[in-house]
Amino acid sequence: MSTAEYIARRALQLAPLLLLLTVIVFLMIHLAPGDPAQNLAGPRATDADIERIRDAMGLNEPIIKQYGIWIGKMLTGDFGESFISHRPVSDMIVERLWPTALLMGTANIVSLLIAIPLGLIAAVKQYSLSDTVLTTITFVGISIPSFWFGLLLMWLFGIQLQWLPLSGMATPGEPATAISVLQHLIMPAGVIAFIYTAFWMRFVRSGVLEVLTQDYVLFARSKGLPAKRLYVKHVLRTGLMPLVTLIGLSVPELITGSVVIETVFSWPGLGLLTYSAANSRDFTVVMALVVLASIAVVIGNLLADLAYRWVDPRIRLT
Amino acid sequence: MRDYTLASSLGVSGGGKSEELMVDRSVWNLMRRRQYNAARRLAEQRQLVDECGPAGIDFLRPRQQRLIARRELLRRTAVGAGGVSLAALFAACGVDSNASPSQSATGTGTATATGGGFESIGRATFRREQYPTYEGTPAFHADATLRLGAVISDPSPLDMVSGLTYYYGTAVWMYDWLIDLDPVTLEVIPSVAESWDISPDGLTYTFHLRSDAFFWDGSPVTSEDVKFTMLAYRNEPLSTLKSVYEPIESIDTPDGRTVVVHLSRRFAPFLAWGGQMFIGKKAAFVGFEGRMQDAPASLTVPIGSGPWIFEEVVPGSHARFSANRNWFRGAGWDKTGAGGPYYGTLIQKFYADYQSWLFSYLGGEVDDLYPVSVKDIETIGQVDSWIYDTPSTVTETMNFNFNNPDRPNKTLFDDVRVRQALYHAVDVEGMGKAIWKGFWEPRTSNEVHPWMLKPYQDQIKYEYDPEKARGLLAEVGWIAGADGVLERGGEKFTILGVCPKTYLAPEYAQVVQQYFKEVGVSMDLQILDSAPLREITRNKFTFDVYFRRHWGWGYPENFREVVSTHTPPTGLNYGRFSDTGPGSVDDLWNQILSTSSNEESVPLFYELQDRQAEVLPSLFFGSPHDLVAVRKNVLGHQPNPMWQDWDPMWWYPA
Repeated sequence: MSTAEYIARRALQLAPLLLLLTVIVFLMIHLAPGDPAQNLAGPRATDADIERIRDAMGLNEPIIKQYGIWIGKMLTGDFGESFISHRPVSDMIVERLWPTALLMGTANIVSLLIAIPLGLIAAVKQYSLSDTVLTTITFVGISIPSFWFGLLLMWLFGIQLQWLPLSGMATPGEPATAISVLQHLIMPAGVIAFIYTAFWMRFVRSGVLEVLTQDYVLFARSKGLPAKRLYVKHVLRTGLMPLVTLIGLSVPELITGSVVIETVFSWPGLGLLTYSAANSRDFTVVMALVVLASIAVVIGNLLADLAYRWVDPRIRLT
Repeated sequence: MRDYTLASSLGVSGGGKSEELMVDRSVWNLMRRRQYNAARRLAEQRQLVDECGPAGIDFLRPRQQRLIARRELLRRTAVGAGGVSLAALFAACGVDSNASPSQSATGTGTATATGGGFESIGRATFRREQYPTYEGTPAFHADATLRLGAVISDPSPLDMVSGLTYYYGTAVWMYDWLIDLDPVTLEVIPSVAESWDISPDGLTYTFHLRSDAFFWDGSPVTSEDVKFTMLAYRNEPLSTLKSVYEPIESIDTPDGRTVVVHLSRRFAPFLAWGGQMFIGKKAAFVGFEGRMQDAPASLTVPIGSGPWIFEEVVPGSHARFSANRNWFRGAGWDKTGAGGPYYGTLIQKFYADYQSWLFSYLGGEVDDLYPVSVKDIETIGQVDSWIYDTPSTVTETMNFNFNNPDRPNKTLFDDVRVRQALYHAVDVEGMGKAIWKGFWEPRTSNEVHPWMLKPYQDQIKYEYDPEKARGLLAEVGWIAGADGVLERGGEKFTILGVCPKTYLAPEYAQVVQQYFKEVGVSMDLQILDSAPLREITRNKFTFDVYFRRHWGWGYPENFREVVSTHTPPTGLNYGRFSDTGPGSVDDLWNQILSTSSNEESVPLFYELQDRQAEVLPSLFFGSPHDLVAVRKNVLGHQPNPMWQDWDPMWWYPA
């Protein structure tokens, strides 16, 4: 099967998958306790007040009808309006996309730039002091709760040393210059990058270790191929195959963001929007984010499969 | 020779002059190893105890924050009250226990609270004045920015109806009230309405508007705007205040400054509750068909007359406002001599949760933090702060459910002696000191507006007396079983308590659980998120007691929760409590509703509170204080139990 055919086939599979996913999530949201009417009405509202508001929001319609209205609008690109802020959901998502892409993109790039060489070093110098240190760092990074690490960095760099700003993407009331955004980006991106680096480094290390035992590697060394050229040009490419899959699976996070980190640092991205919407039972926003995340996951998997073939031409797409 | 070291180098924050504090190193090392008794003995040996006040003990408290049994609670309360100080922390004590804020407290009204015995902690100083005082008139600083925080993602929509129902914290700066409430007494005072008349039959309210209230675009606030707004509160589908404005039959506007409201029935809360509304501009919504919340005037270009002019909202980040220099409540406006605004720009930063806001406050990114948890006051003491300590309109209670469908006979709490026994079983004052660290007022009623509240010394109280509790329960037939749990006719006294995960509620609920256990009542306590809690308390009613926080929003509506006719779905009497007949809760409530003045209603409120204390629809655990932290470079905060830090129009740079 050619690549184009493969992509077309996967795209066709997306539609029924998305439909099924929206049904499941719609049901889950509506079956969970609480709704936006309760949130809007406040703690002093009577049940009669809440019912009236529910009526006004259309939440008392049969669930099938509510879903039908929603899916009909969604197919035309209209995600409806937020129950809480009454703003178009698509506007809300678009304005949060860039902050999330910036945060997650930076974190991913930084972590890749660090994880790949360090993973290679750890594999090549297996059981050495370097490997031990890097492995320890890896375990710390994998084990540490991200929110706790974020709070620790905030306390150290934001409160004690006052080197970095603590929240947001820029300082309100001041121009959002590149320097200002970069200063605000360092801690949240640093937390994510640290955890990703730890995680990916292990995969690079294990992937490279597996390749190092291959006969062709031994053959190349015995023929006098310089180590650097061998590792970078021959070993790394094959050894990165597990990582390619992981990177593909992490593509959706470029869109969905990190709910925990964006919440801790009040970074105005889609992760924070997800948290706020879930908290306030803002159904329309939650559904839109789910659809977006689903599309991102499917695209990410597709990219991972295509990248896998690029890395290893022996693999056939079926 | 004593080995001293600078307190600051050890991270000790126990007084207002940390740079000058000296600490006996040996005592400090014992403290670090949690050998408090040894530290105390050494301090006594070295005769350090006389040099410092009780702040030394206060310093220990953060290390001892854990749930404690009743006896331990009493023992520690006695130790603290006896004033055994750990002056060993400071060889030359810098803690001035008599320190008072640089601005003295003035004003009339009820006595100020002393909460917790703290005057200062670390670099934070407590303030308890009722009205701020000013030396002259503060100056306006066009280039100064006031930065406040809020736990919110987006305050939209910004229309006056949504603002009063969804999130007050932004709308309160953009719009003016028709009438206002005095921040100390919570009595009605003029705002846009400079005076009003109420007809003898209580059916007609005439508001006379001031002539110098203008919207930001320079147009005057007129009677048509007031009429439009009132009807919007009544008619808008998403308004949660319909019940307040429903009695409105018609509104006349004989001229641009007179609003005549005709009610279909007497409704005592109408002035205080209905009058406290944000006034919007009618012309801003002309030509727009549809819900008010969807109008441009709600989403992007709101127009108000308030002290802060809306400039922008960046969702997820902040809102920005500029000072309205033509605001009618300018300098010299009220008894404090205050007015404002005094900052050129106001920034409201949005946070996802309180923790993020706290960190931001400590890092100097915002100038306020509210509400401050009592657990965080030592943390706040790390930065130069005022901590405003004021009574709140909140009451912590435990409501009984008289209609649990899981109980076939539903008579568990029917006998008032059972409810009285449970009240005697709880050391309410001890809880106030231990859990809320003394930042707390005793209450035996829900109502919290000072002018409605019977003086505490005259209220019916239930002293802590577990023996009496057991005796009362025995009178009703509850006798301790082999396992210590009370039994009656084969039924065990086992109840289900539900509690929200809100501020300190789980803590005091767990303490109450222990108190109940000591008199033989076994309580299974469930601590729930808001949605499942609402499900069980509003839909299923499958609980026995509900730990609940009451906010004193409006007029006597808090008593509505114990009126027999106010059961769900139209009322908040979830426990189905009923007290009818002459002199009953229902009877007194109806009498109050038919009054039109404080002179008529106050004696009835006193009677109602006595009646509540006799029939006990709930147990009342008191009212925690509001703590508001403000950076010391900001002055002028007006404590207000209704709208705590939402009054930045009075604040000015130090």
